[in-house]
Amino acid sequence: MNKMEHALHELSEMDALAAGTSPIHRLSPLTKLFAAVLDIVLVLSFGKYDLSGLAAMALWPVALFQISGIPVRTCFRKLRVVLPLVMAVGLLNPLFDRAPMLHLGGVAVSGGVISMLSLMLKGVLCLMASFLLMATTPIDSLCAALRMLRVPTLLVTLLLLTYRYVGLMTRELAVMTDAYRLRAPGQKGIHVSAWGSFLGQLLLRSMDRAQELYSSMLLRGYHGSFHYANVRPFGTADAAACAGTAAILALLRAVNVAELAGRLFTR
Amino acid sequence: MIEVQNVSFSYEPGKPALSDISFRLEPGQSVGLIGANGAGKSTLMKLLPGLLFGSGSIAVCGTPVEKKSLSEIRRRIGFVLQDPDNQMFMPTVYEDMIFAPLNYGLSRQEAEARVDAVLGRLGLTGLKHRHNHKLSGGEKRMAAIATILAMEPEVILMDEPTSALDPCNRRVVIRTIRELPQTKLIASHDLDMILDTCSRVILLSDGTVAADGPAEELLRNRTLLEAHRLELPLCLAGRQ
Amino acid sequence: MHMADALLAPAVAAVMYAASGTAAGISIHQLKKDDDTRKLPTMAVTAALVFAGQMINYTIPGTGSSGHMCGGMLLSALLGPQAGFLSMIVILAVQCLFFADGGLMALGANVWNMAFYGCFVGYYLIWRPIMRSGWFGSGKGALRSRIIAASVIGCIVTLQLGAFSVVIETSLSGITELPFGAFAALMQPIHLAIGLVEGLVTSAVLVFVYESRPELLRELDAADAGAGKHSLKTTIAILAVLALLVGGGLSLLASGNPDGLEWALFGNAENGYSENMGLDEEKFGLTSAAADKAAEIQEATSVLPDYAFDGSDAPAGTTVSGIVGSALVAGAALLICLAGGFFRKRKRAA
Repeated sequence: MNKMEHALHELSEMDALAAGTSPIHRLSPLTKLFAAVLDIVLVLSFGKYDLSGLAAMALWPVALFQISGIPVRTCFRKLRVVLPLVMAVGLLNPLFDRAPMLHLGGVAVSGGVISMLSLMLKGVLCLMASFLLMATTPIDSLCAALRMLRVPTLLVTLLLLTYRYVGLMTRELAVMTDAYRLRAPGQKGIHVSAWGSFLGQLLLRSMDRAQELYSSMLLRGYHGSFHYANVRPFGTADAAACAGTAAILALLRAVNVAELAGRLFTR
Repeated sequence: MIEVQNVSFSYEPGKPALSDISFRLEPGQSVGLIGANGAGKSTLMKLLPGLLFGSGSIAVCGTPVEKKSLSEIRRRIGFVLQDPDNQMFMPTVYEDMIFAPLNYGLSRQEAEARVDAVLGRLGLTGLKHRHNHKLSGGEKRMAAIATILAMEPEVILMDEPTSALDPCNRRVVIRTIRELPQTKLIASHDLDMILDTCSRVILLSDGTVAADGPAEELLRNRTLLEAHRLELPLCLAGRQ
Repeated sequence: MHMADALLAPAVAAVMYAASGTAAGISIHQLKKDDDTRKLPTMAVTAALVFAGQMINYTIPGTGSSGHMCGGMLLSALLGPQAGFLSMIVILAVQCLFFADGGLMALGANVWNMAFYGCFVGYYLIWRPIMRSGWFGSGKGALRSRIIAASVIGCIVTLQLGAFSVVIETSLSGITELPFGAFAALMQPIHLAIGLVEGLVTSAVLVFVYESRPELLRELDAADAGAGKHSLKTTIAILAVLALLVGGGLSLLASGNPDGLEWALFGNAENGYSENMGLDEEKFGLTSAAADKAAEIQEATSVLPDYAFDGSDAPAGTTVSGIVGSALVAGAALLICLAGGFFRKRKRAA
């Protein structure tokens, strides 16, 4: 499988997950967007040494994963994208911040190690929040939410149209990559002699495709505006879900649940 | 229904893609447009709804095709493009189908009723809320036809409606085309399909009309077809 | 160069969202005014193409490694800066939403770092002046050279700006202990190399487009019209200013820490900090002295002060009970998972 096929696989996996029918899937996209953003903001607001406080923030997303029937494992597969980057920045922390903060059985743990771990945990938690949003919300619902939030129509339409063609383009490039490889055994990438023409050829074909697409729009009476399916309005269930999530997250942010639980056992 | 008189067109000066084309489509007629690659089929198809403009005159339902009448013309003409992926740009089949009716000023309820009626007639009700990018090739083709039918056009243009379909899906598409009451112009290399769906055939060659006549007659004329880089339809070739 | 959510403080993320949002708003306004909304299908298809195209590995001759293409310069050369910028936003949004590349909160920062510089700075300060200039004489060959020059310079400059912004944003967020200067000294040279490769790949694609369908490229007509020496001077002046800004900023930072990263990594040890480590460990337990010391060292080594939340900086959560509690939390999370699985199974069985 080449890189593009991996990407296609991931795209269709997300589509399949978003097509579910759990109570979370049925919520208004606006609710889920609010919850995800709130969760991320609260996670990011934790101090860099507040490892145990952060740990408790995992509880609510994990519960939501279970209610929505999204396997946590599919989310963690995406960590391979997030973690290396976060690690690259965080890994040097133990080198600079060496002041010991904590002793575990005679081993001193420095502040740098703790800030590195909390940084990684933040990465995981933020990923969980946005993954949950996307795994329970099809792109068209999300775009509907964005329209409700008065994001300019031009941008939202562009996002939808682009999403529609991302899979198509990726598939075409996957086929081209395979065709290239079959004729260039042992090459890891595109040889310098084909740097321009490989993508260039597809680019020219894409321009023709765009022209066809525009024709198709014109032929069906396009005058610069798009009409979308009606989305379910924001209801009482949504209000309740928003309030509930906000309360739980605020509680987890304000009270260090992990610390409290730990005290029960350590004292 | 459609009247084409002395139409010529060229993409580059001095290299005409179409020269002096004339023909008439009568209401309800189903006409096949055949010809080798580069004969000018696609160009001709694009001229009819005013995607391109050439010299000569074209009239659809009595209205001449001009810049100012485009909206009127395009409401009457439905064009099923060769690649359904280019045709269907909305996220779901349903949204694609209401695109045209809403653009032409129908209310949401009317549009919705139309969509349901078309899907029911074609037996595609299950596709309504499916995502366009997740449809199979056969489903995509049928959905593309459905988006056009939702416009309730008087004339339907089709560009290679059976390309890249398996035999079964091809049969479904052919049956659907046969059942459409509208005036149809179908450009294709699938001569068997043309024979099945069209009563009349126009043969284009190097941008001119090389022959125009009953399908049964024209498609049996081996000499004529081979002179224009075509072959007898398989079903006829087998019998001889 | 995609920033992750974890690398940003909410305030920084919000500022970047505001900045990128403003740029997007202006772009949309401009496009509507020029009635360029009919470009929508082209923008969408090109954005999808660039999204996929970024996954192509280009073998760098003479090395075993491979490079990639950046979208900003390519998109603005094809679509113009405003449409290119919006297309880039959409690409970054798809990457963030479906591939976890970048984050929801970091989107604003990512758009700024990768799309704003690439599209606006790349177009107005590099692509357009160079294409209009009289560089390399006149004729087809000269235009080709100008395309290559504009792409390479554009990618290098915009990537430098982007990388520098990453450093600033991360440092302002108080995420890394890496001193500002050292971080910059680490990021900028890496992105110099990346920018060069990206520039070459971008130029290869653009030259191909120029040779097959020149009408697709922006600013070629102006270039054909043959602009005079004046614009060449302007170009050079602009480039010089840019070079000064980037280079000056860099050297200023680097001079603060004479040997950059090396100093940052090992200088502390020489300063006697390692001796502290050898002291009686108990003294450095969980006392405020340790925390003060940490803060002090951080103050001393970083150009910018620590912006982390002061209140929460106190290592209150970092106690043994905190660790035990975290383990309990992990256990609880696992239990929730198991319970969820159990209920799902029962539901399926029912």
